[in-house]
This record gives sequence, C-alpha cells and structure tokens, in this order.
Amino acid sequence: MKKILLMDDEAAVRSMLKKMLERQGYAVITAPNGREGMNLFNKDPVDLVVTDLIMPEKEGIEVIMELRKKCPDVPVIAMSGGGRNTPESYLNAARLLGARAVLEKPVQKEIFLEAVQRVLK
Amino acid sequence: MTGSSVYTRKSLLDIVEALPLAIVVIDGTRRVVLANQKTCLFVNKDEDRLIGYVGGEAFGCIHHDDVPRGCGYGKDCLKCRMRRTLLETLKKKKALNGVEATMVLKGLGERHLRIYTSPVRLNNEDMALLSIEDITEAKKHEQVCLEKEKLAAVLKTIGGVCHELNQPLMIILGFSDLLLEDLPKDDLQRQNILEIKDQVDRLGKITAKLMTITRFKTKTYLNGEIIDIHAASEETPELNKGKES
Repeated sequence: MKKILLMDDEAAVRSMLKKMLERQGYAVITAPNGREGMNLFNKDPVDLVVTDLIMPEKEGIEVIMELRKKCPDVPVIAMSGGGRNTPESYLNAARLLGARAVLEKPVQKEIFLEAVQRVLK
Repeated sequence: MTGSSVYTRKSLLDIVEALPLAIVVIDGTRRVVLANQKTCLFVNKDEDRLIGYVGGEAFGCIHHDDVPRGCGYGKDCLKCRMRRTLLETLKKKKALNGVEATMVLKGLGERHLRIYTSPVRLNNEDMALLSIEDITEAKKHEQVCLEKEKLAAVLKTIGGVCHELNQPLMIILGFSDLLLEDLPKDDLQRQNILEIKDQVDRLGKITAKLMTITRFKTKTYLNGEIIDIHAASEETPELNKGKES
C-alpha cells in the first residue's frame, strides 16, 4: 500500500483529502504545517508528499526545498489557493523547485486523484 | 505678508527675466502690464499679444469667450482660483504662495498651475506680480503613482480574500464528491449535489479570475459602476490540467 503524507493548515481540507485518498486504497498521514509534516517524514518516510504552500511555521516551499536535499526521489504535489500573489506564481515557484505536479485550489477530485496516480507511477 | 515693493518697469523686468518661472505683472483691472519671456513661451504668444489684455484672454483661457464681457464675467470665472488669488492680492496687498489652480488654455489643454502672487507698486500704481509654475506633468505623475499604490493595495486585499475563499470552496467541493460516492446511483439527491458542485466550480473560476486583476476596469451596472473582472484581469493558463514537470 502506497503511503502519502498530506500537509495542510486547514483541518477540513486534511480530513476531506484523507478520506478521498483512503477510499482509493492509499495509507495517509497528515500534518497541519510543514514543521510537523517534516517531523513525521523524518520518522517514517512516505511514497508521496502532498503539501499546501502557505502554511504557518514552515511553508510548503521550504518543505519542498528540504525534501529535495534529503530525499530527492520522493515526489511532491504542491497545492495553493494563492495569497499575496496569484496561486500561479506560488505554484510556478514550487514547480521550479521540483514539485512533480502543481494544483490550484479549489481542485476537483478527479484532477487531484489523477495527479496522485500519475506521480506515484 | 502684506505691503508692496516699489519698482520701475526696467528694474522689475530685469528681475523677472532672470527668474526661472513665467512671471507677469497685473494691474488693478487685471490687465497684463509686463510679462517675461518665459510667459511668452508658456502661452506661446508674443509679448504684444499679452500686454494690455485681461489675464484670461492673455493666457488663452477657454472661458474668456463664454460671455461678451470676457474674462472675469462668466459663470466659471467665479470659481477661477487664478482670478480670486489675484483679486485678493490686489485688494489686500497680500502675497499668496503656492496656490494651485487648474485652467483650460487654448492650444495647451488642461494645465495644473501653482501660482505665487505679491503686491508690487509700479509707476505709482498698486499691482500684483504673478509667478506661474506649470505642474501639469508632475500632477500626472503623482496621479499615476497614486493609482499604482491603490491598485497594489487592492490586489493584496484580493489575493488574501481569494486565498481564504478557496479553502472552503475546496472543502465543499471535496465533501460533495464524497457524498456522491456514498449515494446510490438512483438517489434523487445526486442532482442537488451536482448543482452545488457546479456552483462551487463557478466560484472557483471567479476567484481565479480575481487574482489575475492587473488594472482598474469598470462597467456600468444599474445606476453605478462595478469592476469588470474579465476586462481587468489577464488571461492565465489553467494550472489544473495535470501538468507534470
């Protein structure tokens, strides 16, 4: 069973995506920010990291940079609903730093699951 | 400051020609009695088409032609800050500095002016010395900077609001999908949930469009104006098309 680490500061987003992924047969662990997410990752590596970009304590961009250094083979999917800039500018940065797929919130279930499947292949 | 300085025409002309502003001397009937070369250049007229003419006519104010009696008697003349400033200086013998006035001049269009007046005595007559600084370009630049600052503040606000809106939109969309998965294929509620999903999708497209606004564009709506988000935003490629890098 493929294991996915999901980081998002919105509890409802975490719970919804976790259910969605578990129904597809994935094992999912979640964290509300990048710092806690990286702590989980360091204890128990996963097959895929799905991360929001704007989060407290440690942002998604920092998570991607840290993962690229530690485990460059672990794929990352970045998601963002924008902020001070358009989601596109955040997601472009994530893509440049090595995110394998980038998704603009709100993202549809089919698109999200297709990205997960594709990246895990 | 009150009180007049006393000059001869020659001594005053020597001074005003040496100064970097357009300067004229106006008598008690608001006629030009002396003008430096910079005034001639500013209004694009020879000195003989300035001397002896009332201010508005000399400068080419469009309102001079509004009424037969000319400058000072039209409806707009009552609001003319140039005229009011000159009259105050002539009447109270008081210098007035940095008064901003807007005039529409023939051939020059709307000009924003900063004017300075001083009471002077020339040939035993009380007059007013008027210095004119054309600040039209500076005003335009100021306006552009102001618009940019306003737009930047609006864009920051929009970005923050859209980010906050996109989270609940994603949550509603996702839980609607989970509900659909749980309902039997023939359940009558499916259509309602699909409608909710369509509307959330629509909201998502609106927030995406809002975040690409780069300029102020408005459209008429009922009796007012609202931001036209389609005209004010820039087309950006859709990200959620399963791109892989």
